[in-house]
Amino acid sequence: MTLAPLRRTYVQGRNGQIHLRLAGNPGGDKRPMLCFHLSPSSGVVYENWLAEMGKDRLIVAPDTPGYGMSDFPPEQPTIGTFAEAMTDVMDALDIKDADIMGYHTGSKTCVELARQQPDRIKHLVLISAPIYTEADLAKQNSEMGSPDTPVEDGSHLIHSWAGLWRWRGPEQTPADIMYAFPDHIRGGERKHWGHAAAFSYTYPENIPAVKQPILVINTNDDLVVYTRRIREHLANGKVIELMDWGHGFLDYHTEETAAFVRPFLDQDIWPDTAE
Amino acid sequence: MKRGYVDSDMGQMHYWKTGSGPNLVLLHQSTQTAEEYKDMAAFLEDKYTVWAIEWLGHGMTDDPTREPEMADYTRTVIQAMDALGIDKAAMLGHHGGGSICIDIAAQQPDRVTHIVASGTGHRSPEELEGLLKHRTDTAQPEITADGAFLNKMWNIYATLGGPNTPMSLMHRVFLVNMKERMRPYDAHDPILKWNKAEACAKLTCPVLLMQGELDTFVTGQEHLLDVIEDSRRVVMKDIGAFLFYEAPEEIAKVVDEFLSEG
Repeated sequence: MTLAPLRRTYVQGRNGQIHLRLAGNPGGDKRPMLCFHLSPSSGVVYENWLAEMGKDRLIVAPDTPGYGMSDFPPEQPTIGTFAEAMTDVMDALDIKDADIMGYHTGSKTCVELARQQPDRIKHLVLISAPIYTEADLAKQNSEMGSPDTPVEDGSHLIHSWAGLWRWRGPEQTPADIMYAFPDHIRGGERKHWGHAAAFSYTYPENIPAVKQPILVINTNDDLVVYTRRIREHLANGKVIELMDWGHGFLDYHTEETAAFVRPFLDQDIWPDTAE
Repeated sequence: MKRGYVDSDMGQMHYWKTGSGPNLVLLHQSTQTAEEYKDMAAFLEDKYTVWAIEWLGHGMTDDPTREPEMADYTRTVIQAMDALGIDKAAMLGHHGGGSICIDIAAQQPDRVTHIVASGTGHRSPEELEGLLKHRTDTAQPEITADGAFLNKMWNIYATLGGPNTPMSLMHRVFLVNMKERMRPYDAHDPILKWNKAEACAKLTCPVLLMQGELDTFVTGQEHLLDVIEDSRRVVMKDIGAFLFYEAPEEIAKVVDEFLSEG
C-alpha cells in the first residue's frame, strides 16, 4: 500500500491539539467533508479516501482526541466530547458547513455532531450503525470496553492482532493489518476510551432527531448484523448493503465508493441499491 | 508541548517544542521518533527551548520518494530549523541522530553551540563492511497471518533495556519501533556509509560523547575523543540502547551540566 498524497496539520481544540490529515483545497464549489475514524485507530484509515475525494473538495480526517497524534482529553470522553472536538476542527478550519462520514465509533460522532450542529451538517455517511441488545452490549464491552494491559510474554499483542485479523476485509493482507496495527494499540491503558464512549451512546435515543439525509454503508464486517437494525430508526435515511466488502473497502474500493457517495452528497441522489 | 509541521524540499517535517530559553534541538535515532525525548524534555524545559524534529521517513514526517542519502537527512533538518527560526542551537542526537548533528555542525559551525552525540561510535573500514553485510543478510521477520512476528520482535526488544528498565517502558519503545520498521527506507545504511571521521575533524564546538553502558549497538566511541578536538565522554552505567527513555532525569542532568559549562 502506498501513502496517498495528502497533508497533515494540527489545530487547537478545547481539550488540546487535534491532529488531522487533509486533501483538496478550501474555497471550491463543493462542500467540505469531514471523516471520523473507528476506534482505536486514527485518520490513517482514510488516507486513500482523502486522496480520491480531495480531487474536487476539501476533505479532512481528524484523529479523535486520545488517538493518533491528537492529545488525550483530560477525562474519559463521551461521544459528545468527540463531537465537540470536531466542531473545534470545523471552526479552526473556517468550515461553515460540511458533509460528514463516520466509521464505527466515528459514525456515532457523526450523529451527535449533526444533533449539536444541525445547521452546519448537511449529509451523513455512516459506515455501520449498530444497534445492540443488552446481551450484545455486554459482549462488546467485555471484549473491547476495558484497558488492554501489556504482559511480559507479548500475548497481548497476539490477542490484539487476532482481533483485527479475524475481522479483516476480503482483500486485506497481513501487511495491510500491520499498517493499522500500531495506531490500534498505542492508546495503552486508555485504548478502550473510544469503545467505551461508543457503547454508552445509542442510536435509538439519538438518530431519530437527525433530519439530514443519512446513508448507512453496511459491509460484511464485525457490525453487519447489528447495523441491519438501524433502518426503522432513520428519519431520512437509507442503507446500502455491500456484502462482498469489509474492512479495508475504502482502500480497495475507493473509486467505487466515491461513485455513489459523490451523487449523494452533491445532488441528493441515493444509490440505486440503497433501501 | 506544542506539535506541528514545517516544509522541507522532501516533504512535511514533524516536530514538537516545549519550554523557553536557549535552543536545544534533539534528533532521535533511526527507527525511533521524537517520542524518544518526551520524558527528558520535562527536566530541561524550564531552562531551554527544547525542539525535537523527526527526520525524513520517521514519525509523522513524510517518507521520501526515493532512497535518501546522508545529505538528504541533514539538509532537510537544516530546512526545518530554518523554517522554525532556530538560528543558533545546542544539538543532541542519539545513534543516527547524533551523526546528523555532527554533519550539521560541520557544515554550519556558527549555528551549533554544543553537540551531545549519544551512541555515536567509530568502526574501522573492515568492521563497517562486516556490519553492512550482516545487515543485508539479516532479514526482518515476515508479517504473517498468525501475528507470530510480533512476539518475535517483542522478545528482542524486551532484552534491549538495562536491568532496571520496566517492561511497560520497553513496550513504548517497541510500539514506536514497530511502526517505524514499516517505512519504505531504512536510514541505517546511508548513515553508516557516511564519512563521519571527516565531519568530526571539522567540529569546533564542544562535544559530549555519551553512551549507555549496555548499548550493544555502539562500538569504538572512545576513538572519537582523538578525532574531535574539544570532546569529552560519559558512559551511563546500567543503561541500554534506549537511554533517553530509560533514565531521562539522569541524562537531562548530564546534558544540562555540559551545556552550562563556560
